Order: sequence, then structure tokens, then C-alpha cells
Amino acid sequence: MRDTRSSRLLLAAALITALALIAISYQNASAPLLRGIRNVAGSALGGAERAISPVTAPVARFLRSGVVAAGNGQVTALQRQLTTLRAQVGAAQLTKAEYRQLDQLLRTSGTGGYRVLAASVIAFGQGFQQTVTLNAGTAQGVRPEQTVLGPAGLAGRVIAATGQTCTVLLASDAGSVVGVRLEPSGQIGWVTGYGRTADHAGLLKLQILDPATVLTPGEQLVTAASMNDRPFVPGIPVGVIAAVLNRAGTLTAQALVRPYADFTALDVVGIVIGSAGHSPSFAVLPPPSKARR
Amino acid sequence: MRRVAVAVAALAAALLIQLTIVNGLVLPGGGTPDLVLLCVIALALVGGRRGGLIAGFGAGLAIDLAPPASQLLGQYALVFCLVGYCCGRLRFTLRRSAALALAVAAMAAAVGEALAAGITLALDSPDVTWATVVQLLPSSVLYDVVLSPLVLFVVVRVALALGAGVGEPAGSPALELGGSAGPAGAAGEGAARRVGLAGAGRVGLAVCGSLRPAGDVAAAGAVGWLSGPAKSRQARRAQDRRIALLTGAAQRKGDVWVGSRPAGVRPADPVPAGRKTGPVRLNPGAGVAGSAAAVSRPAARVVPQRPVRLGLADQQRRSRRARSGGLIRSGADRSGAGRPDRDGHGVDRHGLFGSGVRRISFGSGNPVGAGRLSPGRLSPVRLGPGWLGPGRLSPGRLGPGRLSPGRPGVPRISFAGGSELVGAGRVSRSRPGIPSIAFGGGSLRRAGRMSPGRPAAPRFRSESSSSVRNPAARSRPRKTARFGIGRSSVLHLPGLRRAGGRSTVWRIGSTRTKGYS
Repeated sequence: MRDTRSSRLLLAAALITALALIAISYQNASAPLLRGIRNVAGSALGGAERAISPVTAPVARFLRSGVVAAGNGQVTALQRQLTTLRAQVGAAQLTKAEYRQLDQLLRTSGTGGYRVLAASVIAFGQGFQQTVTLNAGTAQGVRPEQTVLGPAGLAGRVIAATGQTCTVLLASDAGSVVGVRLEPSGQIGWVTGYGRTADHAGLLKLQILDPATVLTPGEQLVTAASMNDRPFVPGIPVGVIAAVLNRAGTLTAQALVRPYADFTALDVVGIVIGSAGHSPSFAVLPPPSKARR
Repeated sequence: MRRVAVAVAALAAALLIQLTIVNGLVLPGGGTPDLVLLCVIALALVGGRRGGLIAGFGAGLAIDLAPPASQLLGQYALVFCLVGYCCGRLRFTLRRSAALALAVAAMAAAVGEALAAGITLALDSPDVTWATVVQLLPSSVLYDVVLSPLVLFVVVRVALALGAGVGEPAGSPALELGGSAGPAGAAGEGAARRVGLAGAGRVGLAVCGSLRPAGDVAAAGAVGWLSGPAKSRQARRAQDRRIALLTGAAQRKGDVWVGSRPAGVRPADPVPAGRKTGPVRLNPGAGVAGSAAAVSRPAARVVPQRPVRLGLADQQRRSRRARSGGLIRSGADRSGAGRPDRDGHGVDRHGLFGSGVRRISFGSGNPVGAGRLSPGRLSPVRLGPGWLGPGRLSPGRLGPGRLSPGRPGVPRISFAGGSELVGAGRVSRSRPGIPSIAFGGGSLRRAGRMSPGRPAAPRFRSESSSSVRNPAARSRPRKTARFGIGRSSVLHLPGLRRAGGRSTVWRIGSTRTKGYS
């Protein structure tokens, strides 16, 4: 490289471009310019991810879960629906883990009367974000701010969608806030994630608005209703209180929640594209004995 | 073009694998390796500044845009283009030693991870906390450092297979003509040899492809650290031979002419590049290495104890004139035309060239035999490179500017001709009490060859052997003196010549040698 001058100019141009992009997106993440860029590039790269997912998904699944446990065989009335969903997922052969997750997902959604679109996780977020990409997009009816259901409980919400893929912000992300209701009392609060930390591995933080509330471990949480079911449809199981954080002087009652969904092993998820029209209240929750695991 | 395509494909593959597989892994410590960062680092180390910068910016922007991304646009582009540029600046490490390159890659990976975490912390502060960063960063850095040799190895291997030049001779300050490298004489001999790979093939990456035809590069894979250490003596010799073939360096000591080459051995014109295929070998019939010692013997007699005057001012004029006057090659016109200082300017005109005044002419790269020494005159001190053509010392004549090594109190001046590789003023191992001055850029292969046991006579080296070996060396533009590390300096702003003008490494012209031979 003899042309120091031109490479320096190039460096300056690159730095200025990057800083300008950061500044624009910091000021307004949904600026039309950025949205256009993200749409175009997201379609291309998401298409590539989706295209190679038949190859990479089994590898990723193997590396993440190691040995796949054998599934249980409780498939009776959902057999037909499952066959339909298989076609939707697009995978000719479902592994047993997928099968089990799908089964659980269908039972959960069937109980609540949700109409779900099954999708697979094809990519994971970089760095500190807790986001995943699903292989379903606007072509399948996915829109931003829809609820995403894991096999056993809430997974997150859709934050962006391109033609063939969508991006889901997991409930375990530090920036995610989910409105919840406590199971017996109906107290309203919200749950945030801890992000990618090892401190509270896999746990969420519950805050209840009323500081006088007495929280006890084992209480279950479901999502509270949102306006027009966006971003969360009501009644989806979120988790169970694992430990109570009683700190003097806080404005809220706080607790640690063990989520029903395993965010590190998400594979088959359902995007809720329609609800029953009425809140299922606490009907979708698993029996308490099972909840205390 | 093919290399660019392969680089883009490699980055795309790294990005997709990173997003679809690696990021989903749950590893101890919570961190994950960053394949894209490692790929950018390796590409920058192979491709240089501009390549690293472009690769880093593109890959970072792709990460910012690829679907699961929700961070601010431009975050990773900023970090990766900085990392790519800096790794491109450290490209010469790859040529110098494998361990150094691996260390640079590991360091760059750590710095890149830290930068990315820092910028995330600064911009996404409510979500990403300091505790999270502290918790995840060490494991991420660890995974990156562990994986970086692998990625670097793969990228270098692929680049070599595609005909990329890993080492660029002009890429480092130590490898420049008349450059700012430190002395590479007796003290810096080890370093010089390592750079030149002469005899250090087990350590250095012996690939020097950028100036060589692509045919050489095919052999490059079998050379240097990529192929591992040679197991047997035969393998080691074969490796040395290949290194010599690739770098143009000699295999052993004494393979090049020390002192001026005897007349008539080779044509003064540079041999076309295609003809030069093998390593330079001794030609026992025409002269042997170390013949300069024999040549220099008479010089010991003449050491005029007179004031030395330096004619610095006119050297540029003279050399320019000598160039414009055309090359004088044949023996027939040696007498007159080769004396550019006779035309009304310069030392002669100003009376500085009287019979009693010793003359030092500083010139630079004069063409063949410009200037001659008339027999009756006192010998000038002749400094500098200037690939020496037919004008050369004959044994009976006075050696120009040869100061007696044995005489006490007389400083010895030894000037090395600039050559295409290391510019290294070298400090010869002198006897105590006598200052020894070394000028100029010596060629690499000679820099390592200053044996302490050699008679301490100042050496004047003909440039012809090196220019024959590498004709491209002569076409290099002049350098200005630089301060600082690498090719740039605080004083060297783009488009601005440094105060002081020309190089402080004086190239001392050989304008007066034509009379010999």
C-alpha cells in the first residue's frame, strides 16, 4: 500500500459514514432512510439465512442441545393439525425435539384459542442482544408487534418483518418489557429480562406496581391484555416466581421469575396471528404442580 | 478480482455461520466468538490497509443490517473498519514472523471485542450494563483469541493459493530504500536476517509475492512457517533454496559481490526480469566473494590528511544533469562525458576541486560510471549507491575514499549503497577509539553479512548485483525521511513534503568512478 493518502481518505470517509449512520439511528431508529436500508438489506440477508437454514438449523440444534431427548407420545387429537403445521413449517422431517416443541406449542395455543403460525428460529442476534430471526415474514401474514409464543410460554414479540423473515425480541432481552398479571390475585406488573448475563441465568425480573403486594414463590404469571392485542395477547403463560426480592425503599415489589420458555433452546415457535377474541384469563397456565419444577 | 470475490464470499460465509450457528451457542462464560471480526482481521493482515478497511466496513454494516440485528445502524461498521485499518497497517508482521502475526491477530481480536462492547455500552446504556459487559467480555475475548490462529491460517492459505502476495517489501519501515530503519549491521544482524528470511525460513513467513511473477507464489506455500519446520537437513536446504528463489536473497554468506564486481562479469544493463530464475550463485571464474578486500589493498596507502569538504549543495543539480545527459555505458566515452561537474557548475567551477582539496560528492543513484577519477588527482570520497556500471575500481588504482583502517585517529566511513530491501545504515564493528560512520541504505542481503572478522576497511559496494537481481528496485520513487512508526508520521502529512526536503539518509553518489577499469 503505497497510497497512504487515499487510504486515509477512505478511512475518514468510512468513519464519517459510520458515525453518521449511528447518529441518524440514535436519533430516530425508524427514519425512512434507515427503514429503507434495513428493509432491502434485511430481505437479502434474511433470504440468505433462510436459504441456508436447512443446513445450519440441524447443526445449530445439535450444538445447542447436544443429545436430543426422546419426546413423549401424547399426540392424539392434534394429529391432523400437526400435519398441516408441518407443511407450514416447511420441514419435511421434524426431529423429535421439534416434534415435542410443536406439540407443546399446539396444546398451549389450542387451550388459549390462539391462531398461531408456526415458524423456526433461523438466526440469533449478535453481541448483547437477545433477538432471533424466524423463517416467516410478511408474506405469511406476520406484522411487527405480534406476540411470539414458545412451546410452553411467552417467547417475545415481533419487532421487524421482511418478506420472508421476521425479527423477534425475546422476553429475556434487557430492553424487553412485558405486562403481566399474577395468577391468583390479578395484580398487574411487568417483567423485564436480564440480557445475556450469567448472573440470573434464564431468569426474568418481575415488578409489581403495588409495593405492598406480598409475593410468594410459585405464583404464576400470564401476559396482561394489550390494546388490539398488540404487542401481547392476553393470557399467555410467562413464568413462575422463583425468588422474591424484598428490598426496603423500592417503589415496586420485585421478584425473580423463571420463564416457561427456554430462551436458550428456542426452536419451533408460534406467531400469534389471531386470538379468540376473549381473554382466556388463567386457563392456559399449566397445573401448579407442574409449574413448580 | 478473483481475490475480491473470494474475500466477499468468505465474509458472507462467516457472517451467516456467525448468525445462524455461533450466536445461538451457549458456551461457558456466556460469550461467543466473533467469526466475522476474526475474518476481517485476517483479511486485513493479508490485504493491507485499504482491503482491511473496506472489508471491515462492509462486514460491520452487514452485521448491523442482517435480520436479527436491532442495534443502532453503524455500530459494528465503525468498530470493524477501525480494526481492519489498523490490522492492515500491521500487515508487515505477517511477513516478519508467524508468531508476531498471530499475536497481532489475537490482540486485534481482543481490541475489537472491547471496542464493540464499549460502543454498545455507550449507546445502549439502559439495556446493556457495565456488569453485563464485564461478565461477557472475557469469555468472548478468550474464544476469539483461541480461534484467531485458525482463521488467520485458513485465510492466509487461501490467499496464497489465489496468488496473493502476503509480504510486500515496501510495506514496512524496515524494508524501504533508504528508510528509517535502525542499524542492521553487526548489532542488528539478527533482525535483518529475520526480515530477509535468509537462513530464517523456519521463523519468518517467506513469501514475497507482490513483486514477483505469480509462478513464484505457487512455491510459496511450501516455504516458511506455513509448511512447518523442515524435518531433515535435505528439507531444510530445499526450503532455503526456495526462500532464496522467492526473496532474491542469497542462501549463505558470501554469495554476492562484496565490493565492486570485476569488470566484464555481467552486463551493466539490468537483466530482464524473466531471465532471472534461480538464486544468484558464485561465479568462481570471474571473481569471488570478498574480492573487495583484494581490490582495496592499495587503498590503504593513500590517506591524505586534509580537510574534507562536503559539496552538498550541488549534488542534486549534478545528479539531475547526469541523468539528463544520458547513460554512459561503454568504455570509449568514459573520459569526458562522464564528468558532469565539468560543465561550469559544481565544485570545479567554484574552485573547490583543486588538487589539494579532497572532494566528497554526494550523489544519488547516478547512472553508470558518471564521473571519473583522474589518476593524478586525489581520491574523492565517494558516497552512495548509484548502481555502478562499468566504472569500477581496478586494483592498481587508488581506491576512492578509502581510508586506512589501520591508521589511528582517522575516522572510517563506510557507505552502503541503497538497495531494494532493507535500508539500513550499518554500524560496522570497528576497533575501539575510531569512530565509524555508516551511511545509507544497505541492501538487505548484505546487511546480514557484515562478519566481524572481516578487515575493517570501508566497503564500497557496487549496486549492480542487486539491481540485476531485482530491476524493480531502481524504479522506486525516492523516499523522504520519516519520523514515527510505519509509513506515516506526524510530520508526513499527505501532500506535504517534510521540512528539510530530501532524505536525511544521504545517498552518496558515485560520480567519480568511471576512470577505473
